[in-house]
Amino acid sequence: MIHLEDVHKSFGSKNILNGLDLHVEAGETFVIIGRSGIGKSVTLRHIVGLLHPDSGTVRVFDDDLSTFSEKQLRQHRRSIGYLFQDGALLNWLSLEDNVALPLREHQAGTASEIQAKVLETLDHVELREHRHKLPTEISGGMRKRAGLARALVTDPKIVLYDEPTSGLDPISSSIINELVRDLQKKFGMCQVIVTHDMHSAFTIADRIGMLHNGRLQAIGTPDEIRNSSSDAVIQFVEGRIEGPLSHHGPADKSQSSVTGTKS
Amino acid sequence: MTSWVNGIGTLLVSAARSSGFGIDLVGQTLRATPCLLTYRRIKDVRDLLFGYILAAFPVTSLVSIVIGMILAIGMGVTLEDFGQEHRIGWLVSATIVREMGALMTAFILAASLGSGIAAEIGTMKVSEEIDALEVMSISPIKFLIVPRVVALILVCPIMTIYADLIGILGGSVISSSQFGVSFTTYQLQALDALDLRDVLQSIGKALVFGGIVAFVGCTQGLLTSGGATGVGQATRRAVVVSFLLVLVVGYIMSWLIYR
Ligand SMILES: Nc1ncnc2c1ncn2[C@@H]1O[C@H](COP(=O)(O)OP(=O)(O)OP(=O)(O)O)[C@@H](O)[C@H]1O
Ligand SMILES: [Mg+2]
Repeated sequence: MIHLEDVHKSFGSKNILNGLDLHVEAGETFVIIGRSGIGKSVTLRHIVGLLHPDSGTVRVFDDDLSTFSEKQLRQHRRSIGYLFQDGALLNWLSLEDNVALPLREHQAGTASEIQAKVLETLDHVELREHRHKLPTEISGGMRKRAGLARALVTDPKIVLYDEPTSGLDPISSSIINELVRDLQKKFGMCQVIVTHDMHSAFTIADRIGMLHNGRLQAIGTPDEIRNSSSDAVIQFVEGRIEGPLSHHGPADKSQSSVTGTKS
Repeated sequence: MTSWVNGIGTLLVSAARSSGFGIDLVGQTLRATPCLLTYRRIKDVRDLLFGYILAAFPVTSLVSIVIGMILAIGMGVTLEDFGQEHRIGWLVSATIVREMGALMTAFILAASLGSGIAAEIGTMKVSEEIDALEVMSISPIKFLIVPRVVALILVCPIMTIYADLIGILGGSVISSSQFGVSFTTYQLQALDALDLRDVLQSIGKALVFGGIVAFVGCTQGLLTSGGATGVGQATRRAVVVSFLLVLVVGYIMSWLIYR
């Protein structure tokens, strides 16, 4: 359903994706893990056409995105839901209006049909009683759930999640994990989830891929990843400071220099 | 030496980049204006319009009345030397309606509304809300830019006419209290100075200034990058660029009208 082949992407002199291959089948939940700043969000942005590869192909629903006109791209995006890292709700609209926005803007039904659909979706994420509040009046976890509701209200066939549980307490995280799994079971969408949260990765993934040096280095089922013998995977899963990821990661220079002097 | 040459170079490049972006934005906005035919967008424009008028109202009132008073004092003193103080109303109203009214309203709107638009859209840009609209297949041009531009273009002439009236009123207070000119004389002189053409030209200028302030605000907002600092920069740039453009375009328009 989603096929990224040999995707390269640089920003200025910064090379972020370097021959990335990613294949996600219909109905599958694929989790991308990797260090901060390694290009996970950049990968998701390629799937919706917010970014275009310098080279390589991005095919979604068997269409090559690079051949799309602006109009076709808009059409394409309608069957994709996207949960942004911080929810990206419009802060002058109530939760209800935020969730209703994509339906109203595309006139997807009468006012009462839209209302019913919005309430149903808000029920899924347990926000119905908060629907008149503004995004600034609720907690981060609630904003994520509202963002999730907005991503799901159009019945997308593909849903992309950018760190659905980051910044949440363990219980709220579990609620989101559960929600993501239940919704997938109920509607059978194809999902790509970016997360740092290994617990949630192991709970919801069909397959997990670790992004490093611009490619998915290790791909496997949660069990395969858990029992992986790759040093890099073990380092990431266990959160060790020293290991192969520390030397090449673009993130914290301070950290890599600390390990550099030690080793 | 090289560092300030570099600095100027960077400045020119970014100025060229944002002008290009701004001109492109004007084109896209014009092409997107048919979206105003939907009830939702009309409602957006109406809400923004009322919000903008309310926001600009206090400052415009204060600034215009004071400017009117300052003009009346300055002109009154000179006219008094010639024994022509009964002409204060004529001069004040001609100056305000022909030049000052539209100009000072544009400055006020740039500082209060244009900067606000840049900050609002800039914040949406850095918090991924603009991307979220794109992903929902909602055109940010139709959804955000068109309503704001239209509302500001409408607000500007409304506030300009209001500023003209208040400015003339401010002048009358001074001319009667300081120079002993009766309200009636002042009023007759003020009306005598103007014909319909002056008023229409003032409105025409205001429409153009409103467009400048709106597009500069939107352009700077959409070009925002780099978190909260970026939003601050975008806001400041929106005000500075609007001021400069309004001055230059205002000068050209006055030149075309009166020469
Ligand atoms: N539009 C852009 N222009 C320039 N650089 C960018 C752009 N988008 C991303 N980058 C850079 O690409 C790198 C990867 O960014 P990305 O957001 O994908 O990281 P991430 O893996 O999602 O990290 P995190 O877990 O912290 O969200 C970062 O160094 C970022 O600065
Ligand atoms: Mg990210």
